[in-house]
Amino acid sequence: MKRLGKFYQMISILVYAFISGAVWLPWIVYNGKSYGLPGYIRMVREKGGIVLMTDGDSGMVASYYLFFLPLLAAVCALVYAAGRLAGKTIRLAGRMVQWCEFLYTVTAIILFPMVPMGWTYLLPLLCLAEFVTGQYVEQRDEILREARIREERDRLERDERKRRLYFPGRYSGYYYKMILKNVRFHIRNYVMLILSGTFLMCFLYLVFALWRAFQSVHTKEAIIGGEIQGILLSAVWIGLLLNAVLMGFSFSYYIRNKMREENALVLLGIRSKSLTSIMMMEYTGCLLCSVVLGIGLGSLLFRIMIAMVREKLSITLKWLPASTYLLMLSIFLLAALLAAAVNGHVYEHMRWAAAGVLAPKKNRIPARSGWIRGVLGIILIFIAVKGLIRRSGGEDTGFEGLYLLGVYWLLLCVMSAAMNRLKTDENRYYGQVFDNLIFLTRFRENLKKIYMLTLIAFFVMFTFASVYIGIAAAPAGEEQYPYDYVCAAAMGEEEFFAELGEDAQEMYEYPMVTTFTSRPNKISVIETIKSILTLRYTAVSNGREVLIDLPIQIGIPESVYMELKEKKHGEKPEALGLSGEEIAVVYQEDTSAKAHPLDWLRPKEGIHLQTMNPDMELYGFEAYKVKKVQKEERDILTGVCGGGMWQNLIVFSDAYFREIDQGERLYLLNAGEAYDQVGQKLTDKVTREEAFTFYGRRENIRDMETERYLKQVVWLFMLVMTGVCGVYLLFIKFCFEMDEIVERYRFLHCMGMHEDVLKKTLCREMLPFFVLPFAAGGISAVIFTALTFTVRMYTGDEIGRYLLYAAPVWIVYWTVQAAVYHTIKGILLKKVFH
Amino acid sequence: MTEIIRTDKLVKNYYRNQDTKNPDARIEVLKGLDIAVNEGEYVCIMGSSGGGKTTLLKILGMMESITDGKFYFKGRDASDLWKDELADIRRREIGFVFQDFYLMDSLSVGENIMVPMILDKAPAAKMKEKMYRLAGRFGVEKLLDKAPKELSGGEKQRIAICRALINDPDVIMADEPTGNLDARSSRRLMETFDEINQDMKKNILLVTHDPKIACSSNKIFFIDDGVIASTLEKKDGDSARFYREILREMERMEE
Repeated sequence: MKRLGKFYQMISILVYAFISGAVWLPWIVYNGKSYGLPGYIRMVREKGGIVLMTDGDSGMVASYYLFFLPLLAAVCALVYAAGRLAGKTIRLAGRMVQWCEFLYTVTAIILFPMVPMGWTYLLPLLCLAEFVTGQYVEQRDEILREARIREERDRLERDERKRRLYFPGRYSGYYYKMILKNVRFHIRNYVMLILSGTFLMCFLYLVFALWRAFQSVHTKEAIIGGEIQGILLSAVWIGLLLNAVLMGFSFSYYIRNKMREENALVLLGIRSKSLTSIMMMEYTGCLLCSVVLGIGLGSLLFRIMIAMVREKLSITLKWLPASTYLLMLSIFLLAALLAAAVNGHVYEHMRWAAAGVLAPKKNRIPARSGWIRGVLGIILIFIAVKGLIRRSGGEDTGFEGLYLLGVYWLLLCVMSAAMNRLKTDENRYYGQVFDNLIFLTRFRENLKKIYMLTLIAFFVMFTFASVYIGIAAAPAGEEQYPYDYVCAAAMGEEEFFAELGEDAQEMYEYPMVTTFTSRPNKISVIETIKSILTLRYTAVSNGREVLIDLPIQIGIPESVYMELKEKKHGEKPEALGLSGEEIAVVYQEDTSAKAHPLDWLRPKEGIHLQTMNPDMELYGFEAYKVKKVQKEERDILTGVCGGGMWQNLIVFSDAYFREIDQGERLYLLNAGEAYDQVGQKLTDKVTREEAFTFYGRRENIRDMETERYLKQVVWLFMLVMTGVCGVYLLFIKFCFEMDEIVERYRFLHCMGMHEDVLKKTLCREMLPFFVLPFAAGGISAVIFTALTFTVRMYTGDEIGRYLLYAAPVWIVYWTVQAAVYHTIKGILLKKVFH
Repeated sequence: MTEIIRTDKLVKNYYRNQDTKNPDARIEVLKGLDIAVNEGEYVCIMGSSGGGKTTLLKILGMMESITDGKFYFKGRDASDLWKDELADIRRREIGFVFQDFYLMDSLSVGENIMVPMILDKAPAAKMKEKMYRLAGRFGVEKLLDKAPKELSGGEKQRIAICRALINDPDVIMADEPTGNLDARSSRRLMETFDEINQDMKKNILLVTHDPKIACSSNKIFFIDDGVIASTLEKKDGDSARFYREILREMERMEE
């Protein structure tokens, strides 16, 4: 101990001596010259003070005064080291050194302008190391003694535990027979769990297998292709969440049914390890079955699907690599864990409730707060509908979120008002008490279930259906590309294209200007936060994205617009009559794709457009010129690019276009039989010089078809799974409460309630779980479908085609729901009367 | 006489929604309760509804932990025991008989009787031999292949007793065992308990509301508001006098 103490004393003196002398080392670099702290202060004084030297830059001034902290630390360190040498410990000096260094480092990081040299960050670390070593040396003996005692105690406890919990022997065959009989007896619990897991695994297999198969025919260019990656990612996430919910429902059903048996076994003295292993075995067994069945079903469906498109897309089948299986299994396990975690509280709740510990939850029917929420709900619904009608944010899912929150509050308001009204009138109350008993006693619980069913109905009828049906009803890919090649070139490529024109059947050349719009992304948010933290506001212009992923549009004069229109439709359109800052927008969108806004941040009365090099944006917000959208339409005049995100046409007045024209040219080529030859020349040129951008018709059609196919498969699965969720929720709701409901109605029957009255009462009790989701979810889906037609600017024919596909989906969903509702009602009545 | 069960200022609190930090959420069920049960005793616990009888039985049956105080089972402090040790005691040293029978629907009657032995890793032959012996003794041998659903309440309760006895425990704990039975079945059950206590020398700890059922015990603890309000002991085996005393005590408690 003594040796260690002396060693520490020596180290401590050295550390503090170093800290004391460090102020003379190169500390700051100013105007290319490095200074120690005293040197820097002397230089500042010579220049008449820091304010004069830096023109009053507040950051620099603050940084300068901060340098006195390490100076103070150096003095204190000298005192401390001297004291140590004299055999005395001046703790105050030591603490002063530590605090000064710590404060200095922290503030130096915050006040960015005058950055000290990197090695200075070593000083607080040295202080910390010295402090920790000092503490250790002081308390070493005590720490070691305690550690020895703890170790001995742990060892004894371990031995004792081993001795007392010694449980030799093996379980007899009856033990496993008991588990198996139990599983067989409660097989329906496991079937639901296995089915939901099979769904997920099958879905994952299909998505990954299709993704891999389509990779061979999909183009690799980032601007045109790359979409299937996005579809895969969104599919995996949504599928994962949806299946976690479905598995969660199944798992909660399983737990509730297991509880009685489990309690009996606990009572009879089963060891916790054995009980856990039984449950684990059952859950793992179910998951394993799901994996095997899911992969089997998935590969079967995959083969059927590929057989359908194999010839059209010339796809070669590939085996999935082991890493993909591992990834699928990881996602599957994540969903299973989520389901188990979500149900952890159900398990706990059941246990506590069984012990009689849980008091029944308070049932409060909102009064005034219900009305407030109702008003807020209407406001949210209004905002969402208005936002979609104006197309300002495109088909933003945020609007859906707002709308659905609004619907919840409106439902809560309507239901609570109905219940409160019922309570105020005694005659009505006693007349209808049995019809509304579940809402009067468990208002929120049942309202949440109704809302869940409403959400599911909305997802099935609109969110997932709109993607699936949108694609089914969309025109074929060939119709979306009037030209074989679309090229946007800068000035100086005329010669190359003139030569190319000789190979092609026909070529059109038009003046154009590349037009950028802006859209926010994660990077802009991070940049904004960084700029706030570092107090550098100029780096980001109003939180807008800087350079990444700018949607690039094609600006053309009105005369070109008229020409393109005439070419497409055979007749000359009416003049737009644009002037000054007014523009017209032609959205070249596929009808199945989501509508995109031109400017993601601004309403169309004042969108921001940039008609120059995007680098200009770095120099400030002014690079974007405010434009007013005079006319909007959806028409495909040159072709669909990036699903409608890119190469929309921005029409300027001829006079304004002359002002901004920089000599760029839009070339539209129809190559005919020389398609491949022209394509090769374009590719060679772009690869060599990156002189222009282009895309080809055939590649784009193939991309579109693969994307559509993958999307349809994915969203059809989502549709089916959500539908199953709806059915399952209804089933679980009444199955969990079956005993209570049957008991209540048996009692009412015994008390003399007529059979037909009893049937009607049960019907009225169950009806809200069908009618309200039908009304709220169905109406919402119809509203959103109509809004989608408006936003995507569908024509009458397109609407008709969409509805032709939508009607069967809607009818099937509600027919299945009605069938389940009637079946459950039948089961309940059967149980009441038998 | 050896002490089988002893409690020392036993306290049990529950907390609404497990909110242990909120004193308003606390429900004090047992408030410093002292009882002692000696070897061979047939003890009954009576009291008003919500007085803590079932909670006490759950604690004595190692199914619930205590908040404060001490509980000794055969001289061992229960708070020193690990979870699996408690399970071992429940399996080997205590037999349970409940109002709701707690039979597993997935197993046959015979298998239900064997469950404690199955969980105790006993050899199959021994289990079967013991199961047949007990079934014969309690007259349920014809029911062994049936499913629990096919039995009447009285039959189920006899099966539950067989199951409680199969591991040869020292104590039988019964919570309202006659609650779901008719008068005849109740009487038969009580005769069975007498037999178990006198012939098999097992301790019986019974929770009941029924003075007639309680009359068959030797000692009664009356619980009121979480503490032992009074204790009655049967003197000279005089059941009629004991019954009158019970009624008097119940009346006194109601006042």
